[in-house]
Amino acid sequence: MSRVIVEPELPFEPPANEFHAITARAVQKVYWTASGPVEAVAEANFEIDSGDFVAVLGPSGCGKSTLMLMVAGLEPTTSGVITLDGQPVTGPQTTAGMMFQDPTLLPWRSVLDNVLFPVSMCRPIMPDDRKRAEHLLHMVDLWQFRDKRPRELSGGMRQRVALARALINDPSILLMDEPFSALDAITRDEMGLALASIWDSTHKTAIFITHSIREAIFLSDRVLVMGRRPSTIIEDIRVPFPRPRKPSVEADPAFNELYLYLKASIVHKPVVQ
Amino acid sequence: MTDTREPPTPPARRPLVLQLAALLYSRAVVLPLVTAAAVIAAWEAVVRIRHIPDVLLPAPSAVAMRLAETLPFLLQHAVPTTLETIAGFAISAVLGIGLAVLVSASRFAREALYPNIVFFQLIPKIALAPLFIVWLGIGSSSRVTFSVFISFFPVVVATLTGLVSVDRELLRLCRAVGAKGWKIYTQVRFPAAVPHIFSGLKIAITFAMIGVIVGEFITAQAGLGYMILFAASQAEMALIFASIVLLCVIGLALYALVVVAEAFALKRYGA
Repeated sequence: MSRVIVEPELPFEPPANEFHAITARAVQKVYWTASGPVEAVAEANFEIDSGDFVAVLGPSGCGKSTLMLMVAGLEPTTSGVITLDGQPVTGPQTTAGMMFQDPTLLPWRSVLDNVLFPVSMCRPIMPDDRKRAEHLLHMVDLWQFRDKRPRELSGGMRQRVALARALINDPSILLMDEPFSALDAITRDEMGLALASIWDSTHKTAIFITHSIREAIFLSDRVLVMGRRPSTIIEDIRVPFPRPRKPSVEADPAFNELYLYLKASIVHKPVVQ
Repeated sequence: MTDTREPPTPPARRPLVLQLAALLYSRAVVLPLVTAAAVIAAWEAVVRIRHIPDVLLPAPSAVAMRLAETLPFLLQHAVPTTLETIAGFAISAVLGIGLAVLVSASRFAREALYPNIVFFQLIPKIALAPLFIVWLGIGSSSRVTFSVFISFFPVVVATLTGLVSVDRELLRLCRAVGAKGWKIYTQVRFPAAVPHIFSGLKIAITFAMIGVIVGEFITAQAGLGYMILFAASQAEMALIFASIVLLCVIGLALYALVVVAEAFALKRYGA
């Protein structure tokens, strides 16, 4: 089995080089709450190559979401540096497309207008934007639903609208925070397949946060595992399966071996201090 | 992901007229009407059987007759009351929504204003009515101002609730795409607040009318509030009730207008 375990990078490595789409150097996040400081991310170091689909696995409360928000520039880091395409992140990154656990669609807008939402919020909508939105709706297989309101769609369809919306500005990176965790198991598998096939045609650099080990292996080129307390990246594993991924990959014994390995790495937390 | 399903048929929506017709025959409408009719019939029966004099309690039939006789006259008095109520309500709506936007948009404004707005509401407002007469005279302006004074608060609270009820992740998304603050208001916060705003406006329209009537009680040469006081001074009980009936009809009609506006707004902005 070709599993490569990469050692975490040292915090004082030379600064980011342009070959990495995303880098994190000694990233720490501390929230100040009424009951004192809470360390959401103790120290995160990683590099993500352009076009890599990286899943981040970890128990709840391990700071995965915080890490993603920092990559998106929506939360400042307490210390450490994150770069996108070599540029340090200092504010919201409009080059990132985002998906959350909830589709967060505007109920008063049609599916098409929801896909155009990010455009409409910062500039007038051009015919090209419309064309792109229509293309994306074909891609997520919602073309015939373009004039519907979100309430008329199923949960999986709404999340597909959110995926199309995340792609509307043709972002260089795609950040997804447990996008399928509110869906039922069957829809979730369908969405995984849909995302895999869309990724095969776009090859966007992606960070995909999930609780599901199977989902992580199925979708990604690389899996990062975050531990809890201290919340750091405790495992960094390449996923060896060829693309395009097919559901049959789950029948591969290597899949199961990787699954069990990751499961063990999440359950057996490293010794604290 | 081959989704070849047809679009799910949305819950069948009949035309508004048919919906209204169905509503009229539904139990939810018939039952309260029957209850009200029974109470009025009992009132009529008690007045007739016990021979209660008109100066104490007129029978509903006597009120109806008095209303029919004096309707043109009462309608004249209804005009200023209605107009002042609409003016008070309109100003409340604009002021209330404006204040809510200000308070939600600016932390400074919130800290400086909001506790004071809330504190203001704790004052027994009716007790302040004479002050408005002193300050603004006996014309319409004092009654409209007083009406605004007692009806704007529900609009502020409801609008504020709506403006802050917006999904955090949606706001996060707005920041992520680099949206400007005012865009977030016009495209996200305000549309999301529409259902809340209307719940505030429905309270405001009833409060606005109360404000005008109280103002008319204190000083007025016209209006239904004035008529009620005048009729009381003449021991014209039937006329008082006739005025009250007309007030109820006007109040109901104004409320209905807000409800209709709400129905249209929710069709556009409702979830």
